Amino acid sequence: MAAEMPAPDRASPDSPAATPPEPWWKPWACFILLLVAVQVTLGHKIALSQWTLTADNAAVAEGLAWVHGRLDLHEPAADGPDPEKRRHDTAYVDGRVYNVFPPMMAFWTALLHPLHHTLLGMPEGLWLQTTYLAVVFCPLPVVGFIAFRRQTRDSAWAALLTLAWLGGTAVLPNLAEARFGYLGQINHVVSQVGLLILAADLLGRQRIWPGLIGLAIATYTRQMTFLYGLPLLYVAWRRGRVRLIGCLVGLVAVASPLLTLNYLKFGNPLDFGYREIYVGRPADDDMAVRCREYGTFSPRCIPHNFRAMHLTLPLVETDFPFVKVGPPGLDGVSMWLTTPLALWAILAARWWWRDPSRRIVMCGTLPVMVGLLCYHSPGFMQSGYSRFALDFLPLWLLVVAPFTRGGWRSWFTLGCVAWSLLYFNLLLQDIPLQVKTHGPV
Amino acid sequence: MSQPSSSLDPPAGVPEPTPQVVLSALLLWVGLHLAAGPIVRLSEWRVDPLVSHGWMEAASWRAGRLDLPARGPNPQIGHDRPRDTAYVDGRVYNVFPPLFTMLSYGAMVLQSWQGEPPEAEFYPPWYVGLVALPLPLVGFWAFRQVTGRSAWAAVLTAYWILGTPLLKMLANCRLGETNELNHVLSNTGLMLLAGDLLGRRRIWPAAIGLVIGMWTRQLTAFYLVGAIWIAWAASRSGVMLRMQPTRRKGLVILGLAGIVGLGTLGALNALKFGSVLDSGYSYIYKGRGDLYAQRAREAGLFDVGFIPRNAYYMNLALPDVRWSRMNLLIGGGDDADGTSIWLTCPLLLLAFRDARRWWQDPARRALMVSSLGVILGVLCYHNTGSVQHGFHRFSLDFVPVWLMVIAPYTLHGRRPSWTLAALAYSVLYFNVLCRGGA
Repeated sequence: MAAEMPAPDRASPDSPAATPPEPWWKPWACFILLLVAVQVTLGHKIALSQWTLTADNAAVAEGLAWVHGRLDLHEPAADGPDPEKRRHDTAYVDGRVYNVFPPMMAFWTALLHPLHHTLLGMPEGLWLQTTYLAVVFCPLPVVGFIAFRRQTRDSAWAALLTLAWLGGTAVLPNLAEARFGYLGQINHVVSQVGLLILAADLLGRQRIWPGLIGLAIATYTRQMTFLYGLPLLYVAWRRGRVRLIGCLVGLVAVASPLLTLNYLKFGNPLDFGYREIYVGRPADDDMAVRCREYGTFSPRCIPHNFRAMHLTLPLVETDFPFVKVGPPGLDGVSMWLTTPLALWAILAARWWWRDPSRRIVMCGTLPVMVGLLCYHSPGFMQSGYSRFALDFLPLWLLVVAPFTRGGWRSWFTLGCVAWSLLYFNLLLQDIPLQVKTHGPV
Repeated sequence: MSQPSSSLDPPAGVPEPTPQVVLSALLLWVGLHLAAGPIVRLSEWRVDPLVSHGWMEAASWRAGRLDLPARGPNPQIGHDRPRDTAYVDGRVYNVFPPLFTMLSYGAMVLQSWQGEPPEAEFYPPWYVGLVALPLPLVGFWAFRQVTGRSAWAAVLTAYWILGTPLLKMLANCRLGETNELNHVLSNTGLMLLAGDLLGRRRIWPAAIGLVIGMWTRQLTAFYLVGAIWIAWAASRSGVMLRMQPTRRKGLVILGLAGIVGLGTLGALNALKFGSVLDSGYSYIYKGRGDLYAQRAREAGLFDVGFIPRNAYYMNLALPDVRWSRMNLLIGGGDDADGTSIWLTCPLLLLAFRDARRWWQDPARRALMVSSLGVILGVLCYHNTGSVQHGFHRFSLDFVPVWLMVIAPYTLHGRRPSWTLAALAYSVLYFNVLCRGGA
């Protein structure tokens, strides 16, 4: 057994000794300012009042199926493999239709079914807007602010970084699309909370159990993030036998439901069923072709995915005096261009490399990045941004957060934040406000 | 690597590096775009020839006349002439101050040189450039003059544009609404005026601001008194700033501004309504029987009897706030007479909190006392400012001046926190107000 890891580096910028404590009211004031800033600058894109979640969402349908004692989705027109007759991106196996996405929203649907249906008498599968927002949106600013504040020890800066994360990364377009109840986008949004909890624990007190909770949230929304179990396991190993055992048990507990569901639905614990979503798709469907030719994961997908995630430029049209940012396609745009704040991961490399816990987290993102690059899809349906980058970007931001302020660094960070907010603002259409005063909840 | 420090400001006494000034201005620009963009929608701005009195009057000027074309056979009836136009001796006149008419005239001339047909609309980029673009530039410049800090100047400029009724005015400039346009233009002028008089005091920028103010909101002519007072007192005190003109030169510049500003207004009044002091506002009610028409007919345009009602709406009236299914709506009620400025713009309360401070500063005192004249005029007017659901637009005749006066004090002690809280509150208030479509 290796020697126990020392406590976090006291000389690092996030050291409590480095910054005087804030008055009690300041975190609250900054958090409220953050909420105002989110409403004022992002509100018209996110449009919380317009959010709805119904059984059109495959995970909601799956949760409903569980309540009714089955695993497959009840599809009225599932007599054949025609993808038009089943929910988007659902698997068709042996005449049955299954959800292939991770089960977080299915868990929640089943859990909240008594409230929604039995208690409130709502139609099955329809979520109350309040619970939808409470589960998907509300944790974001809270967890983000706490996580960034723990790293920076500066509430104002934490609020700024939280705003940058919400409005200056692909989180914003995913939030904007979550209002329709799109499963892929909901999963990205929810996974962010898990990733921040995980990273905050690894960069903080390393109690492991919060990290496991974060890992569970992330894994049940984005399976690839289960690879963050590796750095978690490593840290637990460095922290002692008890934590290692606890971590191993936790990892098994996190993985078991996923593997069980895979086994029950597709006959193999390691078969997530993604290949089956292409059953019946047209022969010229790019993703289907790639999946058939290369498999779900293949190193041959790396060049295409790498280009989409790191190099692709957006389409900028200027019709004087107006500027319009558009997507060059659906495969994504370089995350460095949309979120230059990520450049701190390179600019501050020497600094975070010297901090063992930060080094572990940053190295822990590599397997996830490799996994994403090998996937047969670059993310798709990501006009002007790279949504898969969200599987590691929050960890990067948290790692470099303490380094982003002070002198020229503050100004550079402010510039990056302004750029990203502006970029995503130009990219996304405003949502007209529809005031609902009557009709169903 | 050096240990990070949280301050964005250079040490005291050290001038700000130029990149910091530029970056602050750019950040302000981005912030304004993010917060106000969906509300103001600059890309949709145009001057509707059927709505804009200035454009209509400019077209008349081009045709060699002063009166506007009627909309129907009976212009003595309100419906048959453009809204809020005067009907005098069978003719229809614009009664609003002439700055936008002049700008429209200039645009028409330039557009005709470019081969545009006479019926062409105001070229939108010029319109945006003349009306919206100067606001952040002048605001940032002015607040920087009095605070000396770019980042803070950006914050205060954001407050002025996003956290006062100015945002609502900007939102309504989309079709070239005359009242709103005039408020926006006058605010640019007032900011120029206050920025110069409280800053380097070169006087000529203040004179330009004064003329802009007079040609958009006539009551702001009261600031001429304050400006003359400042030009007189500053040189008398012997404290002369670099590039500051002598007392005589300053007074001459301001005198010229007064002559040009008030002279033009008076001349137009005389030509249109037969008296230099007749602005023609009383004639807009000809053929109208609404509340304001009755009030103007019974008590005149200005009367001390209007003070209680106007003071109530300016200082005490509460907004209509409703919460309905995740939607917060402000100002959608029936009462269109306005809402307390203290409730919508609490930062202005610092004008009382810091009264002793600004009173001890002759220039600030002069401007604040001048603003009292403006406020008295607004309070005596027969109209509260309506239609104004959830805000008080007439307050824009003094809000920029007050903000400039209190700006340096927002940096003292706990004031930055209070200012940020007030900024958040007001920006949220006007954001919700403007989104509600009230």
